[in-house]
Amino acid sequence: MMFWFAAFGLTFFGALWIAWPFLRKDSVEMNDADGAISVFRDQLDELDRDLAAGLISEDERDAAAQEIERRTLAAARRLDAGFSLSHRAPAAAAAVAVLAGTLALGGYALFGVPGEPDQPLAARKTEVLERRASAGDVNARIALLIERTKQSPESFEDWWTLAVSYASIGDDAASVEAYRHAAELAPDEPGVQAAYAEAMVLANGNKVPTAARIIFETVMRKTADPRARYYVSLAKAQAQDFDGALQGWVALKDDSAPDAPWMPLVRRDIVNMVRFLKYDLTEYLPDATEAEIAAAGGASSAEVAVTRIAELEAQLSEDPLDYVAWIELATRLAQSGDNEKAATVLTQGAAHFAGAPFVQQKFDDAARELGMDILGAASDSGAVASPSAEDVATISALPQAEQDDLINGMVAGLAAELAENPGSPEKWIMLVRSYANLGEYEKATEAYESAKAAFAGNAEVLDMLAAGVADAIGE
Amino acid sequence: MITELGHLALWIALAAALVQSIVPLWGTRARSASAMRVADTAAQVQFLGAAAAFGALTWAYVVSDFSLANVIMNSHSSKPMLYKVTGVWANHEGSMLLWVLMLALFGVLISVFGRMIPVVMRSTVLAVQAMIGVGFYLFILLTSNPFLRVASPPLDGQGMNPLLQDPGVAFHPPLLYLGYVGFSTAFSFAVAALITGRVDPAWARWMRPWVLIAWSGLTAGIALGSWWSYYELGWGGFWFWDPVENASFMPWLIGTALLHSAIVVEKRNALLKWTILLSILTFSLSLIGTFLVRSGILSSVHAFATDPGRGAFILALLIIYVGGALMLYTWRAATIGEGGVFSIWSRESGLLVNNMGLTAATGVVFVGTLYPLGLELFNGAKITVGAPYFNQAFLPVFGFIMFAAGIGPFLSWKRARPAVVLKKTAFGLAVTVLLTAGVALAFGLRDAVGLFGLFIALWLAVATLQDLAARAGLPRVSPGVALRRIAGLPRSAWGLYLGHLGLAIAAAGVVAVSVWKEEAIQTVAFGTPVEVGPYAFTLDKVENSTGPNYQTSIATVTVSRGGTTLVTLHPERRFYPVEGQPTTEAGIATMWHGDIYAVLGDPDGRGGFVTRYYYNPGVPWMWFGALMMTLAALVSLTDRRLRIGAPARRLAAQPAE
Repeated sequence: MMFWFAAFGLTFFGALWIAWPFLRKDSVEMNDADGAISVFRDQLDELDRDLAAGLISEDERDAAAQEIERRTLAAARRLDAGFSLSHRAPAAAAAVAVLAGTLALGGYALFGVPGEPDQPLAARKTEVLERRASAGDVNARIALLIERTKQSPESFEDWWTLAVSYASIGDDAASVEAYRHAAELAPDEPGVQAAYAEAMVLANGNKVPTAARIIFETVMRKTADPRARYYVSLAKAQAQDFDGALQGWVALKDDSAPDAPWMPLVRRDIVNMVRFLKYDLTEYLPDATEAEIAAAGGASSAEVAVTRIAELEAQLSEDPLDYVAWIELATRLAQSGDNEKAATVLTQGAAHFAGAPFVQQKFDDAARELGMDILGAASDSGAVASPSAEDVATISALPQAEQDDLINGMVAGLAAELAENPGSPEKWIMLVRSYANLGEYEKATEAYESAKAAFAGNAEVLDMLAAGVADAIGE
Repeated sequence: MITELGHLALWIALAAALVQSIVPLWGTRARSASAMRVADTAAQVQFLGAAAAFGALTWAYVVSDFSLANVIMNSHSSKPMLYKVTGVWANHEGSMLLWVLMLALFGVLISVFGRMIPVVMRSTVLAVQAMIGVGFYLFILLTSNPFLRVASPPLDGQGMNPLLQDPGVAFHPPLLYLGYVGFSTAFSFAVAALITGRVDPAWARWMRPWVLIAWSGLTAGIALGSWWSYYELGWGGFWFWDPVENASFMPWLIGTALLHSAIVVEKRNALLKWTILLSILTFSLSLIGTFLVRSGILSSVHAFATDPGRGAFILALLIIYVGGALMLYTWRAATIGEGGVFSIWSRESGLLVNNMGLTAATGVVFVGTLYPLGLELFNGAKITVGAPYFNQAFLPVFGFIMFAAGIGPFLSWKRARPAVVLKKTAFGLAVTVLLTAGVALAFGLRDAVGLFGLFIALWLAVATLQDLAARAGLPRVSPGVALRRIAGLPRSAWGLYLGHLGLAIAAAGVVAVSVWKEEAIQTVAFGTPVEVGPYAFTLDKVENSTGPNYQTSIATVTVSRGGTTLVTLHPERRFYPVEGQPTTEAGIATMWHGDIYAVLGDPDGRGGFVTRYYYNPGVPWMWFGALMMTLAALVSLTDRRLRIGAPARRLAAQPAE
């Protein structure tokens, strides 16, 4: 409607404008305005100027002037002959306007798509995002869901999907926020509440915050939600109530099917609790495997473990840059019942690799596996120290020996990482250059050879490697 | 809604053009001033309609409205804004819309600034102009409509030829069309003269500004296109005698003839029929150029429309307009008198020689461009006529024209004294011979063809300056008086001197780069210098980077001479992923005597790169000369004579004369 209003308006004014000369008042117009004569007059003036400038002679001027005067007379004669009349002619105006307007509107109506809206890309954002999301782009799905939750903030579905999507890309903090909205919209859904509380735990570095614990306990009172039961136990463990935690987890295990998805986690935690409390695992886990019994400190060959611990300790005092050995030592210590020392060993080991995030991750995983993070909740000393940005920034303030340690750790961490994932040429270059900087040219050359082997056949990367290490190892 | 209103606006423009082509002509028969004045208002509505349509299409490109088929085919959301806008006319439909917009612009300018032109003449001119418009509006709306919508718009467009994503070529079509379409005004004036039977010096004066604007635009457009191919195609060439280039060169050559013959009409009321014929031929060649490019009958980078239906439509328009005008000419030319007489030795004869030469040159290019086409139609053989033909057939003719252009200004109107002319010519020739010999000795130039070309260019410059000095009164008057006289020269005289000097400079540049260019193509490793003429080019490094919608490898090439580093060039190889096409961006350093030019090619797989290095002497002179010619026309346009005419203004200006 709006469109036709504009279309008719536009056409009407166009047609009116075209026909306007027929609507003006009567007048007489010269056919040949004396524009022509003024042109000739100007040409005469020009002759005089040329004469004055000495460009033409007197004779030439006279001849040319005569010619121009003849033309002027001819033009003047024509001037007398014709004039035209201008009449006000509304009928003619209407005819012209209707003709023009009909042609324009009719032609357009035949070939155009009247009223079809513009579709600039910006206005098609939702459509664009939908298509990308359906092609599997999680970020597009999230952007789309954010749009939707803005439009309908009361939609539980959208908040829930958004929260799940955030969780799938590992953005735990954003996920908590979305779960919170979902939980507010579904206060009586235990599953939703538990999911919200779990997100809080994940966002909190696997430590159960008080708020989450309250939610889990509320849920537990209503239903036997396994997630709530698991986390309430974890909260107890983190509060050093190992017996309470163990009871909770054992009860959860007994109530669950053996192939329930949470079972491996629950069994692992039972094993750790048993080890901490120095209980007999078979009482709590009658179907415990050999490995679980060993992990719970119940290994039959305890003396083998003692020898191995001594071996590892000796090895590490020689070469502290072997993270696998550090983790094995901590595991053995824990299994032999010395949880305190195991935690200390993990902390010590990690300290050697302050600048190597890859290795730090390995230490974190080991600590979780051994339940050390639970111990750490009570005694700060037991936690694996993961070096912060400030730690790294203070390297230069450290004594030389410690600085060297730190750098050595970084390099070793890099080497360990590349041994596992050799796919980054930049990191290989960094490793080769680091060895060269430390004066370990053999290792540098070795690393370069490994890098070349990793990228054999990829000329572009080989060129890049060669260029990257050229000045470091003189190749 | 904007898009659809734009589509409607194009139909309104067609309706206005239709009214404009009929009602005013009826008015001249019926002596109805109102009907004649409809030409003015209709021209205004037509322009507003075309401009609104063009604006709506541009809007659709700017906001990436992929519900238009035209936008899908030629744009992409990640394209930089500049190329979203210029993408509007970098395709068939949009460029035709620009074509009619230019046509409507000239119409509205005539209706607004042509008040001094008597209403009968003006309304006839505008009616003829509108007849051309009607044909092209129908062509666009029926065969090449840029406003066609699609049912389900895609997420993104298909992009635009990356070669065209460049500032040089972005503004090449508008300028070229300013020229092509501007010559339609000359055509309209010629046809109006045939209809009204009125051709006189005043008529020539009314027509001249439009021819000047068109010629200036065409000169700039051709130069810009040539400049673009010079730095973008990466071979150091600037003119390939490509049929599409020829299509713009032919109207330029014959338009130059028209520019000169119109002077004779204005000054001496002679060459009347010839000038009318030239006007018709100039626009006909513009139309043929449009036909050649738009029909897709030629296969070259420019020919992006390959729909035979469109070709047939344009061919029909060509036959109607050119055939109609020529028939009118044969019918009505007899009623036009021959006008003033002149002797063999006169400025008129000189300009006639210029006209003959330029017409012959146009003929040479025309044959070379259309012969392969005719042959293919005749026996299916596919041949190409290349540079050797044009160099051998065109250059001698054009050299003769340039030689004559030096003598022309020595001739006075109506009857010149041969002795004076010959004396001046002999003096100029002597100076030129000395200068040529001096240059040859100073730079050690030996190439005979090159030196001859240089001689011609120098001759035109010397003769032009000689004439300027004579007009200043040198050596009879003091330098102060001479300077005052030079300052007092009419702007049209400045147009002559700037134009001829510009041609001489551009020609010198063309000769220099054609004969004395140095080039080297090789695979180089980093750090190895390559000698090109007196310059050493060293490839230092190649870095990868990304642009707004392309990936690029940028090389650093250091150029030194005699051990001193002169300049660092950064040639690029770009890759446009959307279109899947690579482009080269030459690294160019301009010095007063020539360009240092480097192109980065493919890597050779062992750390080296293919590179092309050039020293192109004279290239900056070509662009400078072309710029001077473009400005010459604009300076001439500001001449007070072209503002004369409106009675009221004439009276107001009286005391100042």
